[in-house]
Amino acid sequence: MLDDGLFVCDTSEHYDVLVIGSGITGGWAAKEFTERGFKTLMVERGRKVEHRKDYITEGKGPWAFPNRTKVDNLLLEQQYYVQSNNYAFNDATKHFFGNDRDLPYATEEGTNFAWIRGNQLGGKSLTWHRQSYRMSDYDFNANKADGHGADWPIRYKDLAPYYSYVEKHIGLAANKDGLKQLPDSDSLPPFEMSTPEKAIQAALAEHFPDRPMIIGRCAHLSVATDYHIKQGRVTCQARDECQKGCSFGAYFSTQSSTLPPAIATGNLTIAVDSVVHSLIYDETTNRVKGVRVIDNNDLSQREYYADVVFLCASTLGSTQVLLNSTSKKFPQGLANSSGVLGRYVMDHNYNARATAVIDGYEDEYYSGRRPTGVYVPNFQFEPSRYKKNYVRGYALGGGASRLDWRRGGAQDGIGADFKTALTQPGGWHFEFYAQGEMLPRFDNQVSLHPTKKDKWGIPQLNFNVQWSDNERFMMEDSAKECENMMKKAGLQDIASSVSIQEGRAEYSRSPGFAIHEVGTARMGVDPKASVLNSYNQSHDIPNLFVTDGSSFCSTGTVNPSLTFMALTVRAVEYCANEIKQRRL
Amino acid sequence: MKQSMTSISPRQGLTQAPQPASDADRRWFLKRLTQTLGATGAAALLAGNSLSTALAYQPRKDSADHKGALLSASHMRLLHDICAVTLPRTDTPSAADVDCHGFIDHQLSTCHSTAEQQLTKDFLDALDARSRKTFNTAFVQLPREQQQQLLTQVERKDGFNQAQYGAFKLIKWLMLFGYFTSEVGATQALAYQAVPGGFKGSIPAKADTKGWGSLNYY
Repeated sequence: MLDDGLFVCDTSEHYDVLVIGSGITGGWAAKEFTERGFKTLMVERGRKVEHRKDYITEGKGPWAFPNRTKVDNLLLEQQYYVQSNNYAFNDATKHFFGNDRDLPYATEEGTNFAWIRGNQLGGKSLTWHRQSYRMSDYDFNANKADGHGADWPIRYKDLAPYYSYVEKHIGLAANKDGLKQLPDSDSLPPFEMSTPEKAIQAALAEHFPDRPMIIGRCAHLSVATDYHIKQGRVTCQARDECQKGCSFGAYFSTQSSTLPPAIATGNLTIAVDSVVHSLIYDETTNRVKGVRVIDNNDLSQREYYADVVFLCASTLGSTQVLLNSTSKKFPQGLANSSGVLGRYVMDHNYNARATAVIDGYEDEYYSGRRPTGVYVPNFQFEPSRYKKNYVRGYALGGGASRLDWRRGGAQDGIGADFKTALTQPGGWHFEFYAQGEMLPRFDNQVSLHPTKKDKWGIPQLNFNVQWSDNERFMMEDSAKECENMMKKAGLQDIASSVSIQEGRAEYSRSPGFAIHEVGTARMGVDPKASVLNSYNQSHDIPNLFVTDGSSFCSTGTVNPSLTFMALTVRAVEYCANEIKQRRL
Repeated sequence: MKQSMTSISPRQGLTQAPQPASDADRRWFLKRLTQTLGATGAAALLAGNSLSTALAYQPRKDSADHKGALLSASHMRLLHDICAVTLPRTDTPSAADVDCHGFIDHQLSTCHSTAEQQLTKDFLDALDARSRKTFNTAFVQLPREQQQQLLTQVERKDGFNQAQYGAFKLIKWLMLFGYFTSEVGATQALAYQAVPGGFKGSIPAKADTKGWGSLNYY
C-alpha cells in the first residue's frame, strides 16, 4: 500500500531532483536517484494508481462487462476517438488511456497522427506491450552509414552494461540467440514456441539462413528469481491480460518494479495530478530552477523546485514542456538553441502483414496465453543488405495459433453440429506483421499550435508528420517478403496486405499508431544540430536532462522501451557523478 | 444468477484445461502468491472474477416477453427463436437459454450504428413475412425444423437478398459473441483458464478437446 505521506501537493521544499513523469523512464530515474541518496520529487500529471488496489478490472471474465469488453459507441465517439484505435483499448483497460476530449491536439491539413496517452501514475508502463530488445551497433551506426539523420553520439558498448543492469532488475524472458543484429540480453528462460512455430522456424532456417525466426523477448518473469520475489513479484501466469494491471507483478511496470525500491529508500516524494506547464529557467545562472504546475483537477497553479530536472514525460510530453518554456535567450523553446526541438518525429511503421493457413497439427494445442510471439529480427541491418528502392529494414512479429469460435462469424451453419464444432479449436493459422524503421526527416515536426490551447491553458501540439516513399516502399516489399517466406515454409492460403496511406490516413494507419514515437529532442555531438549530448544532458542548460524517446537519433526496428530504460540509468549515473565532482 | 456469475474458480478453469499445470507448480505458486499478497489478496485474485458485475448486461429469463432496448416484444420473441435454433441446446445450454437475444438487443443499441440497427429490424420483419408466405404462419409458431430450414435459406440467399443475408450474419456474429463470452459459453461450452499457471507451447489435442474460452480480448 502506498503511504499517503509519500504524496505532496503544495510544498516549498527544495529537492535535489525533479523527475517529470512516472512511466518507464520516470520510474527508472526516480529509482536510480533515490537509491543514490538524492531527495527526489516525481511529478505526474495524472491520477494516483496504486499497485493491485487500482487494477479494478483484473481477473474479470468478459461477461462481467456491460458490453463484454466492447466500449459503448457514444463514449467512443465523444471521448476515445483516438485511443480506441489502439489494440489494447477496450472496456477493461480504458481507464488507463487518456480521454481524447480532454487531451486535444492539432494536425496539419492532409496529415494525421495517432497520439496514444497514458496519463496516470505509472504512465504507459501499465499498458505497454512489454516486448524488449537491445538495439545493436548496426542501429546506432545506421545514420552514419547511409547518411540519413545525424549520427548517434553513442555506440552499443556505451549502453551494453546499462542494458544488463536494467534487464536483471526488470526480468526479461528471452532466448540466447547469438545474433549480431540483435544482441542477447541478460535474461530469464524464454517462452516456448508451439510445435508448428518450431516447424516454421526450421523451414525458414533452411531457406533463409540470414533471417532467423526466434521467440519474442518480453519483460515478464518467466521464472521469478528470489531477487524478484523480494520485490513482491511472482512468476508470470500467462494470463496475457497485462493492460488491466497485474497483481502478480509479473510484467515490468513502474508500480511493480521501480516504484517499490524507490519508495523503500525514503527519498522519494510524489506529486500526482500535477500538469507541468513549463520549466522555470534562470537566465543569469543558465539553470532550470523548477517547474510551473497546473493542477489536473482544479487548475490552480503551484511550483516545485530542485537542483536538477529530469524530463521523463514521454517523447511528445517532454517536447511540449520544452517548447512551452520560453525565455529571452530561448524564444523558440528551452534548450532549443539548435532549432531542432520538435523536429525529426519518428515512429515505427506497422503497415504490412500476411496471414497463412498451416495444414495439419490437429493433435497439437497450447495452454495459457503467451505474452509474446515469434520474431524475425531486421535482416537488412546494414547498407550492403538494403533493397534497391529503399534504405533500412524491418523486423517481423507474428505467431501461430488455432482459430477460436470467432471463425463461426464467417461460416455458414445453423444448429447443433455448427455449435459443437465451434466449441473445439479450429485450424492453425500463422501471421507475420512488419515493424519497419522510419527515417528521421526534418520536415516531420511537432510544434505548438499558435492559438489552440487545452483546458490547462497549455498550447496544443500541432503535428505535421507524414510517411515518406521510403516507408511506403518498405511496407510493400515487406508484405511480398512475408508471402515469400510463408511460401517457402510450406504454408497455404497466403494473403498479405499493405495499409500505409498517403495524406490524412486513418488513425490506425498514421504515424504514432505504433506508440514508438521518438526523436524530437535528439542527442548529438554537435550542439548546433542536436538538443542533448551523449548523456541525455541539454547542450544549452547543464542541469536539464531528457531521457525518454525524444533523445533518439533513429528508430531502429526494435521496440524502444528497453533502450529508454538503459539511457535513463546511464544519464542518472552521469548526472550523479557530475554533482559529486561539483561540476553540476 | 448474479451469484453464479462471480464464481469462476481457478480449480474449475484448470480442471477443464486439457493439461493443467502440475500440482507441484501450483502449490509453489500459491505459496509464493500468499507470501506476496497475503491470504485474502491471493484468494480474491485467484477467484478470478471477484468484482461487481452490477453494470454488466444481466441475462434474464424473460427477455423474449418484453420490449428490448431497441427491439419490439415481437422482434424479441423472433430473435429468441433464432438463437434457440442457431446455437441449440446440446450437452450445454442454447444461445436462447443464456439470453443471447437480450444480449443482441443490448449490444445493437449500445455498440452499433443506427443503420445496422435498422437493417436488423428489417431483416426480422422479412423473415417473419417469408414464414407467413411459405408456411402460412408466424416464424415463432413454426416447429424448430422449419425455422432451421428458413434460416438455412437465408444463408444460401435463397429468396433473401444480400442486405438480409448481411443482417443475419450480423445477428449470428453477435449471437456467437454473446454466447461464447457468457459465463456458460466461456466456461462450459469452452474451457476457461482464469489463471493458466504459465504457458505451454505444446499440449495434446483430441477430438473432444475444447477450445479456450479465456481469450485475451474480444
